[in-house]
Amino acid sequence: MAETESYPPIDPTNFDLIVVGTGLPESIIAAAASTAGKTVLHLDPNPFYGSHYSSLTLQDLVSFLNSHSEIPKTNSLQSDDTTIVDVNTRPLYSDVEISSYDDSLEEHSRKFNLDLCGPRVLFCADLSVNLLLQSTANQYVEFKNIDASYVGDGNGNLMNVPDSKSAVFKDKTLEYSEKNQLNSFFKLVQGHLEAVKSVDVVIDAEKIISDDDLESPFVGFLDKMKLPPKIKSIILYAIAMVDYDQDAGESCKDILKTREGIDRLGLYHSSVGRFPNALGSLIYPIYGQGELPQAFCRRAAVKGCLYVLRMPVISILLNKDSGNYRGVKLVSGQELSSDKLVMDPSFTITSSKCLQNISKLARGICITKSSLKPDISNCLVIYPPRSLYPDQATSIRILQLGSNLAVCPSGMFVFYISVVCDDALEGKKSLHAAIDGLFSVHTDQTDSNELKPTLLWSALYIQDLIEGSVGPVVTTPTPDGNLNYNNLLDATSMLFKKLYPDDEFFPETSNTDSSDKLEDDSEVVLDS
Amino acid sequence: MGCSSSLPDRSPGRVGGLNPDNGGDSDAKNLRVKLVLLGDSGVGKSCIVLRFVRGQFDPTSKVTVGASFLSQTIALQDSTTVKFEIWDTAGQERYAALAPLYYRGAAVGVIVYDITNPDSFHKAQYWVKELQKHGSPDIVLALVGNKADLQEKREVSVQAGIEYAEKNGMFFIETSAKTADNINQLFEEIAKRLPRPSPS
Amino acid sequence: MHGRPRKSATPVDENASALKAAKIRSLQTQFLQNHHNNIYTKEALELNAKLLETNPEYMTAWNYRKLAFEHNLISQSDAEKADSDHIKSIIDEELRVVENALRTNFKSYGAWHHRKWVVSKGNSSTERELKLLNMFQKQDTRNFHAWNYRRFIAGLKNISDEKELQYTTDMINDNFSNYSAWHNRSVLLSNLLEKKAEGYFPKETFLTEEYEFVRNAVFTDPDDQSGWFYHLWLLDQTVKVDMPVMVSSWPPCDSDINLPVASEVKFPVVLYFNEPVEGISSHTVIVQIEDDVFKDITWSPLSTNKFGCGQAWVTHLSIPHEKFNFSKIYEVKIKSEDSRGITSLSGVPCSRPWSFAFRVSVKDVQPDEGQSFGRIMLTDESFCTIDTNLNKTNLLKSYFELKTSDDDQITSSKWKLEMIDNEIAHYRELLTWADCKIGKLTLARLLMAYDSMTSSATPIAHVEEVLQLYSELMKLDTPHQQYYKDEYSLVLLKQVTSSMESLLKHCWQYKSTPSSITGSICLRLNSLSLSRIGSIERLLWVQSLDLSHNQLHSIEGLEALQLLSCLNLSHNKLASFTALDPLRFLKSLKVLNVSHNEIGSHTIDTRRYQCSSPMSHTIDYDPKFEEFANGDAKLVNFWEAYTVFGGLNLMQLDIVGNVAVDERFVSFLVKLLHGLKWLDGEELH
Repeated sequence: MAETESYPPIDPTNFDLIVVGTGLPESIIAAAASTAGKTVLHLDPNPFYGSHYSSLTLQDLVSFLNSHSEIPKTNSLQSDDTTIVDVNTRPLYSDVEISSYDDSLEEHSRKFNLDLCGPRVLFCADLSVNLLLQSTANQYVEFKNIDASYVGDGNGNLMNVPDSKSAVFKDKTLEYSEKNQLNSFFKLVQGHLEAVKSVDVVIDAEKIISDDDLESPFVGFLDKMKLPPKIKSIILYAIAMVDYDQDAGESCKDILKTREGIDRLGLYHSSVGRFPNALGSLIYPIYGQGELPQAFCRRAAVKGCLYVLRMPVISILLNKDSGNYRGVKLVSGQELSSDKLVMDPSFTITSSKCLQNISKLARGICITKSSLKPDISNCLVIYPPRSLYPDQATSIRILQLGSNLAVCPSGMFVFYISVVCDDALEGKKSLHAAIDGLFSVHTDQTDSNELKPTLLWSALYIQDLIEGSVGPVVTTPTPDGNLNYNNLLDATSMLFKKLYPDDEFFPETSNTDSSDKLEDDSEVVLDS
Repeated sequence: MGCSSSLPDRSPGRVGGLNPDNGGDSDAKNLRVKLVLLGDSGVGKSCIVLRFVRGQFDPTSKVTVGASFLSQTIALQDSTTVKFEIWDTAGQERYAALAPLYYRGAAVGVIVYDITNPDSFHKAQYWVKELQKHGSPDIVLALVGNKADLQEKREVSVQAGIEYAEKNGMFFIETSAKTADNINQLFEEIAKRLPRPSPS
Repeated sequence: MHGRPRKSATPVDENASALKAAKIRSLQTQFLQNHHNNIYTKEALELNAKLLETNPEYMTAWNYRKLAFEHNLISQSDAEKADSDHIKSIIDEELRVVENALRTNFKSYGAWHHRKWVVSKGNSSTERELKLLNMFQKQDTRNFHAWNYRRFIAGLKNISDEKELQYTTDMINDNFSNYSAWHNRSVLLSNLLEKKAEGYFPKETFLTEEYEFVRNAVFTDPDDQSGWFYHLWLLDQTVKVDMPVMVSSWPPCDSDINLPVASEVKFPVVLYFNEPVEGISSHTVIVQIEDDVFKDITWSPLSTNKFGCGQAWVTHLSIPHEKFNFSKIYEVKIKSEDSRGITSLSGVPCSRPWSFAFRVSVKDVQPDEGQSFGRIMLTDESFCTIDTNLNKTNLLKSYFELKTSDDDQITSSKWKLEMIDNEIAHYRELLTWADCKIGKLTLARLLMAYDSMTSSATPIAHVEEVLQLYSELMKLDTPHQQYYKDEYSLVLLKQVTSSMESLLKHCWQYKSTPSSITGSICLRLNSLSLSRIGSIERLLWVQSLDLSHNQLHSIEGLEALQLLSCLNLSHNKLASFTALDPLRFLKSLKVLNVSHNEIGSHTIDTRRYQCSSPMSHTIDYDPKFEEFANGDAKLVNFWEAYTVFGGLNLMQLDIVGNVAVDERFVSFLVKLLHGLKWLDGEELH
C-alpha cells in the first residue's frame, strides 16, 4: 500500500460530501457532516494529516513551506456536458527564510513536531475546547498547561503577567496599589459578566457596565477606570490579546470595543480552573497542534468517513450548463461524484491574480537548547506595540514549548512567533526584533556571558490570510493570526451551516451515544 | 487518556484528556493501558474486540463504524486488575491512512491477520513496521491469526505465524472470534506481559 | 462552608425518586435486622455499604460497621490472625466504603469520623490517605472536614509542621480566599513557635514575612475576609503579652485607705489581670497584715459567664476585732512569689512574681443604719464640680503612677513597635486608594495596638484617628454597626481614663450633705453614646458611677467595681434582666437606677440564646426561689430578676420605664428587697 506508488481505486464513487485537505476546519466539517449522517470522503494530497494546521518534522516543515510558495497556472477543458477545471495549488507562504546554526539538528528531524500555524494555544473555556468535548474528540488528545506568561520590554526584561487573582497575589513586581487596581478591575468585569447573566435585574443593575461604555473603545474604558499604563498594557495585550496599538488613535486598524474586551477577559478568567488539573488558563496539546485535526478526523472515521491520504485532486467537474459542481477527478484518473465539495484554501480553481491585497502574517519558528526562564518549560511572551521599537504597530506573541510536550527532542525548546503585518518587510522586521530581543545568535561569541538562549535554527515566513468562502465549492479559512482558534471555529461552523442548513453542528446527543464509550459508570464525578 | 506508557513523562502540569474526572490513573495494582488493533480490513479486528468486551459475534458487521474505543477490565491471579482501552482502526487502515495519533501512548499493539488469507499475513509485516515507527519502544506486541475456526480454509500455517512472531519479539496466538476460542487467553497473556510501574 | 453548597439533587422524575426511596427503605429494614441480631457476615456488610453509599449521614450504620469491624477482628481464626494481609483487607474494605460515601457527600461527618476511627487502628497506608486528601482538597480547597482530617493524618504520620506549612502556602498561592488554609497556617505556626523550632522562634523571625504574605492578600482583594482573619491573628501574636499579668488592684499599690468602722473592719481586695485567669487561692497569693499571714482566705472570680476563672478576683479581708486600734495604720501586703499556679485560660502560667502593699487606717463613724435614708437625687443639678485639692482624689493618683517596665519588655517592644508602625504605614496607604472596611478596621486595631505599647510615653496618640475610623465604619458597614459602636466605646473610655486630668473632668461631687454614699466622688460618664464598658483597671476605686443616657446593652465588667454603692444606668438599652447579671456581684450597691431601659423588650436574651436550655445558664438555679415563690405560678417568670436582685441589699431603686415592669413586678420587688426605702421615687413604709 504505502510502498506501492500506484493509487488505489476508491470505492464507493459517490458521496454526499468530498473534503480535500485535512486542516482543522476541513476535519471539523468532515466530522460534523459524518455525525449528521452524511457519506463523506476525506482526501489529502499530503502523506500526513493536518494540511496548514499540521505539526511536522523539521525536514517536512521546510519542504512543505517551500513547495507551497511556488506560483501555479490554471487550465480548463470542456467536454460534452462537463467543464473540467484544473485545481491549482495557491502559494500561501512567501519569503521563506531558513537559517541553521547547528547541523546536528537535522539528525533529530523526526523528533520534532513543528506547528505550521504557531503560536497557538487553547483557552480552557474557549470554543475549541467546547467543541472537543461536544464532539467527544477530546478522548484522543492530551494537554499540558502553559506554565506562565510574560510581557517583554526592549531591555530584555520579561515581567510576569498577573492574569488572575492568585497571580496578582503571588506577583513580586507589582506595587500594592497596582495589585489592588488590577484585581478590582478583574472583579468589576466579573461582576458585570455575572450580572448580565443573572435574572435578578434589580439587584445587579448597578454592577452592569453601561451600554455607552460597552460600545466605546476598551482602551478609553481602562483610562476611565484610572488604570496606569503598565496595567492597561497587561490587560490589553497580554490578557485580551489585542493585535494593534490601541493608543494609536485614528490610525489604529482595529480598535477593540469594551464589550469585546470584557468578553475576552471573561474567557480568560473562566478558563482558569475550568479543569481541576489545569493550573492556568492556557493549554497546549501534547505532540503539537497537529493532533487536533487528527482527532476530528478519527472522530469522522468513527462515524463512517472514508480516509485517503496521498491522493491529489487534479480537477473539478462542473455542470456545463449550470456551472454547478458535480465531482472531482483524482490524480489516479478516477472520477468521483458528490453533492458538495470542501477544499482547503491552498487549492484554487480561479486564477490567483484575482486575489490581491490580502492581509499577511509573519510567522517564525526558532529552536534553542535553553529556556527563557530556567525553571519554566512552556510559556507565552508578549511584546506589546512600541515595546521593542518605536514604530512597532502590532503586538508580537511568542510561545515557548519544551520537550515535555513532545514537540522536540529533550533538552531543546521550540519557539513560535507571529505578528500581523501589512507586508513582508514590516513583518520580518518585527520577527527579527523579537528574535534579537530573546536570543543570542550562535556565531556571535562576543557577549557569551549573556543569559539569552542561543539560536540554533529558525524558519521565518510570511503567510497569506484567506477567509473561508462559499462558491461552487466551499473554501475553508487559512490559519489566522490569533492565539486561539475561536474565530476560525466560528467561521467553520458558519461554513457548515451554509453547507447543511438543516443539520445541527455536533448535536449535544452525540456524546451520549452509548456505543461510543463503554466506560464503567462506577466512577462518580465529584463536585467541581 | 492516561495510559501508563504514553510517551511524555507524567510530570506536574499535565492536564491529560479534557475530562473532569481524570481519576483513572494507573497504579501498581490497577493498570490502565491503551491497546491498538492493527491489520488489514476484514481480518476480524472488531470481532475480536466485540467478543472480548461484550461476548458478541456478529458475522454481518463489515466496516467498523461507531465506536471510538471500548474498554474492558480483567483481573489477574495476583489480584491486580488491567483495564484495556481498546482502540479500533475505525476504517482508517483501509487506505493506509492511520493517523500518528492512533499510536500515541499505546502500551499494546495487536496485529491481526486472517489464517485463510495469506495477503493479510503479508500486510501484517507492514503494520509491524508502522508500529515500530510510531509506537513507543517498550510496546507489547501480539500477532494474532484469527478465523481459526476455518481450519479447512487455512492458508497460513501455525508455524509461519510462530516464526514471524519470534523474529519480531512478538507473542503469538490463533483465535476465533466466532467460537470465542483463545479470545480471553489472548488478553490475559497480554496482561501478564505488561511492564508494571514500580510502586512509588 | 463558605458558600459552597452541597450539590443539589438533580431533578429526577417522581417514579425514579419513589423507587429510590423504596430501595433505601428496604435496605434500611434489612440492615436494622442485621444490626439487632448482631449479624456481621460479608453479605450483611455489603448491604450496609450500599446503604451508606446512598445515605452517608446514617450514624447508626457507621456504628454498626465499627461493631462489625471489631467483631470480625476478634472472631477470626488464629491462622488469619497471623496473616496481616487479612487484617489489612478488612481495613481496606472499610476505607473503600468511606471513600464511596465521601464521593456521595464529602461533607459527611459520619464518614470522616469513621475514617479517622479506622485509620487510628493502624495498619493502613497514610500515603493513601494523603493522596485521597489531595484529591478532596483539590475539589473543594476550603472543605474544613478535609483540613481537619489532614491535621489528624499529619499528626499520625509525624509529618513535620514545616512541610504542612508549605502545603498551606501552596494552597494559599493557588487561591488565597481560603479561610481553612489561613487558619491551618496559624495553627502550624503556633505549634512551631511553641516548639521553638528553628526559624520560627523568637516570633519576630517569621512575623515580618507573614505580615508581608498576608498583606498581598488583603491589598489584592480588600473585600476578602479570609486573609484579614489571619492578619488579626498576627497582630494578636505581635501585641500579646505572653502570660497573664496583674495589672491593677483595689486598693491600689502603695495607697492609704481609710475605713469607717462599724462592728467590724472588713474591706474587699480586688486583683485585676490583663486576661481571665484561674488558680488564685491562698496558695498562690499570700495576704499579710502586719506580720500575720492570713491562711484561710477565699478568693472568688468576678465573672458572669465562666466558672473558676475571671479577669478580676476578690476576697474580703477583715482585721480581727481584738486587734484593731484607731490610731494604728495597718500595713497590708499581697504577694505572689511563686505565681506559676496562676494560669491563663490557655494554660500559660504567670511566671513572674509580683507583690504590692497598701496601708489601712480606721476611723470611727456612726453607722447609717437606723437613721432615716433620704432619697439620693442623681440628676445633673445634684452635682457640682470637684475640688481637685481634696484628698479624695489621692486614691485616683495611684492608678496613674508610672510603672517602670523591665528591660526585657522594652527590647521586645522595640521590634513590635517597628513592625506595627510598618503595618500602619501600609494600611494608611491602602485607605488612600480603597475605601474599604477591612482596611479601616485593621488600621484602627493597629493604631490601638501601637498606643497600648507606647502608652507610658505618649498616651493615646492616635485615639482621635481611631474614633474617626470607627465612626466611618458605623456608616460604611451598617450590618456590623453594633460591633463598631462597642469598639468606639472602648476606645473612648481608654481616652477618658488615659490620664488623671482627663478622668478628673468626669469626676463630680454631690451637693447634698455627705453620707456614706454622697460623700464619695461620683464618676459621671453619662451621655457619651457608650454601648459597652471598658478600662475597668483604672476604675476600681469608683463608688458612685453615672452611666445614664448612653446606649449600653451590656454592663459586663462592672462586676469588678466592688466599691460601687451608687449606680445610675437609666436611659440605656439594657434589654433583659440577664444583662444586669454583673450587678449580682456588687454587694455594696445601695442605690440603683435602671429606669428607662428596654428590660423585657426582648423575649429571648441573646446571650442565653446560645444555650440549649435555661438550665444550662451559668447562673445556678437558686432553690430558695421555690421557697420564695411559694407556688405562685406568676412569680416563676421573675426568676431571672430574683437571681440578680435577690442577693443585693438595695435601699433605693428606680426601675420605671421598662417593659417588664408592671404592678405585679413591683410588688414582687417590694417583697424581695426588704431593705428598700425608695422605689421609683416613692418612699416605702
